[in-house]
Amino acid sequence: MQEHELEYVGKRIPRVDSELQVTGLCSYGEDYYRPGMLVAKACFSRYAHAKILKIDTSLAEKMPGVRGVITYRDVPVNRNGCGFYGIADQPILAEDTVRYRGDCIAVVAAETREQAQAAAAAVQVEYLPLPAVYDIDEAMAPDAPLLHEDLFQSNIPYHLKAYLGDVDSDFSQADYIIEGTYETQKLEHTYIEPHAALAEIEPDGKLVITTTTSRVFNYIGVLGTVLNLPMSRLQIKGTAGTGGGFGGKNEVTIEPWVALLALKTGRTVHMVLTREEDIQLSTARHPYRIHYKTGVCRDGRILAQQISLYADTGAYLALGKSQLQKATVHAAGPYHIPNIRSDGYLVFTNSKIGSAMRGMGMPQACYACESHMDFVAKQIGMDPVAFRRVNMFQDAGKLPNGQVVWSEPLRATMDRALELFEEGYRKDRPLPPHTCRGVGMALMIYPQDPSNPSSSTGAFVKVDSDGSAVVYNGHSDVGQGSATILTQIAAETLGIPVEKIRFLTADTVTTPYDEGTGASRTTYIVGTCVKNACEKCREILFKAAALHFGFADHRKFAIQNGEIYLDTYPDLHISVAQAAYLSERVYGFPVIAADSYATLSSAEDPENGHCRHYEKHAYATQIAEVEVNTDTGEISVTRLAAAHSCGRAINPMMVEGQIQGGIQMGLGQALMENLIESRDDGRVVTNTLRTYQIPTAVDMPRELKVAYVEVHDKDGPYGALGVGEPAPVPTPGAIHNAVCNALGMQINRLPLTPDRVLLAMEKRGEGGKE
Amino acid sequence: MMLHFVVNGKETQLEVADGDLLLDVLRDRLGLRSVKRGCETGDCGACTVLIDGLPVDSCIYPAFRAEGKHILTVEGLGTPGNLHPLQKNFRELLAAQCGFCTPGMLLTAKALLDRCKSPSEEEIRQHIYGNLCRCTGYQKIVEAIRKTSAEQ
Ligand code: FES
Ligand code: FES
Repeated sequence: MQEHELEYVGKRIPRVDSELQVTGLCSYGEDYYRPGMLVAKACFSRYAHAKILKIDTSLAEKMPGVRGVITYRDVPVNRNGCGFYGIADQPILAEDTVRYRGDCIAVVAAETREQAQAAAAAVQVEYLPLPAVYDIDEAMAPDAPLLHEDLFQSNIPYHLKAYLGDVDSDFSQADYIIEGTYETQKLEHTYIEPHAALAEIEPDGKLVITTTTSRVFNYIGVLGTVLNLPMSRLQIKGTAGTGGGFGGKNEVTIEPWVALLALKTGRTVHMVLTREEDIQLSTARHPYRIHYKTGVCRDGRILAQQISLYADTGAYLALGKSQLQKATVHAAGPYHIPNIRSDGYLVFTNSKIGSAMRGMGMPQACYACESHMDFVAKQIGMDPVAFRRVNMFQDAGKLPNGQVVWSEPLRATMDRALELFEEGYRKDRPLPPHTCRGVGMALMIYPQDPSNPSSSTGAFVKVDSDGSAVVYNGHSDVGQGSATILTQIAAETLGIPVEKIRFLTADTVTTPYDEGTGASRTTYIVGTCVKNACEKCREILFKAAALHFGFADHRKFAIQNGEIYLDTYPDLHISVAQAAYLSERVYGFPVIAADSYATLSSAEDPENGHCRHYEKHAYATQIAEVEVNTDTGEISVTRLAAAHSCGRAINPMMVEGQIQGGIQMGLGQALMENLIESRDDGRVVTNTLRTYQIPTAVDMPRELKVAYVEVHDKDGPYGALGVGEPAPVPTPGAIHNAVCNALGMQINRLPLTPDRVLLAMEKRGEGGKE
Repeated sequence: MMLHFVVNGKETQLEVADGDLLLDVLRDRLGLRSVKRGCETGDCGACTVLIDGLPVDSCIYPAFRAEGKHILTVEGLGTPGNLHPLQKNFRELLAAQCGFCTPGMLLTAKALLDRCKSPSEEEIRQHIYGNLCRCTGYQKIVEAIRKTSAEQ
């Protein structure tokens, strides 16, 4: 087929559901209302760690309006492998032990919210409190109580490795050995819509669950197991709109409960979490402590690096291993270091579960790596930008898991970010009183589409007889805009306008398998699959055209502007609609096609962690300017420039939107967000949006400049790769470096709240560092 | 007690109890599902409606206080095919990603533009301070509001 100008790819097309969004007609979780439905409320653990001696629901069952109460006794298989590659370590409802405050004891279905709430409070539980561990040091202490004695001999379920070269011998060659420790906090996803789910039983007894999720096929796998139901009796559908996910809607939470209650009562059951419940129950971003020991030459070349990473995964595994692997493999950043020893440890604590959150371990690892890069540069008296240039990957690089990666876009993001940062900037801007200003940079390498062992998807496409098309794929659009991007890819490939394409997603019955939204895999993996399936349909349309014109060879045809034509005879053309009509109604081959696509990984070498897990990498550079008020410790980010690689921007507006939103999340991590759990009883203290603060419109930099760098990927659909997941990754490092630059000191701990900044300044006054 | 008020231009009356919140009355009783529930503590702005032209968090507003007042929700702002300029610009400039904050954000923006024809960027940011968005970084929201004000 001939190359022609792209009609739909690369265009600033509004979201396909945007008209519904702005008119309030898009249905989110709570909007799935059914007359006469029951409402569910849960009874959560009162302890962070305890044995359960007795659960008595008899009082709750007799309360007004109550139609059903469930406990572990009602769960056919009470084990959830919510880390879907791994071990089922989490009960659906607590049986003999509670390990954090989000463990649920019982769930009640009643006629009204108030009745359900009252009954949930009336569930009586006798506990035997156990000693609890609230951070990695307590959890790793020799006498620490074990959280999962039945599955693991210590509170460290995983030790992951990524080793390259020979670390021990090479420190002797270094002119300097520089060490630093960097810490991050626990973070909440803070999607604005809390979890909500509806369970209905169809007249033939089939169970349908409509829920706010990023991964319907993960959910059906878990639910099929725990309910002991064949998938043919079960259907999971994503809500039409989901008010954000960011990785926080990856694992089943309330879905088994509404399902069990619907089965028990024979009624429709709805559950909507309050913000407080959602913050307690949902997963979080892992807090990390990362230590670096770096051997470096006088000329700036890094010779060797030892890295140890400790990630607090809370009470259960969830996706802890997968995010730790990303961090362990990429904690040395996009830098040529011949000898690396990176050890990652996952640690159980009696606290909120750590799992997937936008960036998967990388915002922590990148922050630590980039802060350390600045620190090392300062120690050896080199400019931080020059120091990075000496060490950074050029066209390719080798990761400590032995994988060689294509890194051509990295340099381009650095050059572009530097250019953007200076653009239109007035150097003589006055500094407010008692303020100092600083600048900091962070580079990023981000692994997309983790294949462990595979990340796969399938798509069906049909073209109807008026030239409309429907695409079916099981991924979820939880706000990131994937349905629009994929529609643009389908439109381009089929030569059909975007308005004539429907994209059906997230339904385990009507759409084919997809692993789910995450890791910025959708544009690349699903996009490739949709493109391939559309090409098959196009092939069928060409066959119809060939028959129509009496040509033997259908491969000579092309599509543009909804017309199928022959290069050699431009006057001979037929519309897609006509060709679709003819193939379906006259020639007897309806225009339908299916395809699949996957990335695969190699097995891991237990000695050095060598494997091939990540097929594609994204690169970025962000540069921040901050002003720090030395009286109050307050920080404002005045300027931020970001350049991210995206292969090709299928929809430039959406690429920008993803980067801007990501920066907001990264800024929250850098400056204000901090999920605090009580060290007395494990309860989440910051359980409102007032105490857990995310950035508002006022907190964002006034000069926020984002750019995407297009270096087309050889495999991506139309050259595209994902961009959304990594967007927040470099921000905390860039801001932290800017603050350290402004103050002339290291802080090395997030978030950089005013009190922490003041404390650090005070300590420096006394000759120490925080 | 009987509550009489005007909702999206329509005279409405219904029986409410003392503790009923305006959010529940609008969502569950009147079926106005554009009014979103994000926190129920007055911290996120997803439940914003306009009461006599001013943005209010309906999740902490007692329903009985709406007696005699005019309420506007997004259902009354514009409909598909007949979008208000703010809706049109939010749509065209991608001011909504997941869209959950969007109804509240639109109404807060409308209250500002009704009062002030051409607000500065700083005024816009200060004005939407109480409406949290986790997806967009606010940049495109601010742009959509500025564009609407420039077009007025
Ligand atoms: S729901 Fe009313 S302010 Fe959040
Ligand atoms: S668009 Fe998702 S919260 Fe604003």
